[in-house]
Amino acid sequence: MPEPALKRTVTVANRAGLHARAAVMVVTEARKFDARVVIAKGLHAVEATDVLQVMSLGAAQGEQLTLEGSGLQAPEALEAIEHLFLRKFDED
Amino acid sequence: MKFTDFICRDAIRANMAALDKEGAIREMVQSLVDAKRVNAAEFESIVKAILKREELGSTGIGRGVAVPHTKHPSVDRLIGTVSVSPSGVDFASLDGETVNLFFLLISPPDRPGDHLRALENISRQLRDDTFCRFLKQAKSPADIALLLDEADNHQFGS
Repeated sequence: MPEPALKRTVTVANRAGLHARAAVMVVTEARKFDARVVIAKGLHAVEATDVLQVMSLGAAQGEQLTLEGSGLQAPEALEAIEHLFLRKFDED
Repeated sequence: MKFTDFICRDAIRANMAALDKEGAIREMVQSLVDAKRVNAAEFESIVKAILKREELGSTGIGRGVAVPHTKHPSVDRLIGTVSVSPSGVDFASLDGETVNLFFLLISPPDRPGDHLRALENISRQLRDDTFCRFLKQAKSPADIALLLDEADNHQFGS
């Protein structure tokens, strides 16, 4: 039985942090999947499908975020979003 | 970070005339020149840099909002302005909608943190539908400035 929600921790590695273009990349990935993904910085948790919400995290280089996914394609969605952080949003 | 920390009051505009992306950006940068926050000699260079950033992906983030921005060596601190377009501008936004509300930011190349804090502030405040709607309906720069002040003073939900 899969867990109802999957969790991963990612680190903001690119110098500019989770700025507008990076936020749009996260949202674009999140919207591809049949899943609900919540991104949290500490207690501030937002929907990964909403650019304004993702930008409102103000996540800077070095900060850790938690990704929590639920739904049919949660594993794929988390994998795709984690990959963006790992490749530093193609920056730096 | 608060709006008052980076929004140049004298550059706020409530009646954008431009109907396309480049025109909108030119109008906003010109407002910063007119407010003497940007050197007129840097006008074209800044406009070009902002347009180049737009080529990487529109900063029209949906809900009728855009945050065009660039780094530029001619500014020594983060500056920005707000413009409202009553008719809406085709900005190739993420959701395909026209943009009525613009926050333009210019930051020094070595201060990514300030830019991020400004984006954080703008997006947190705009999550409040009332604030967003009031801004889009603002009829004068004074109305906009008042709304920004109220947001700074936590008059709207976070």
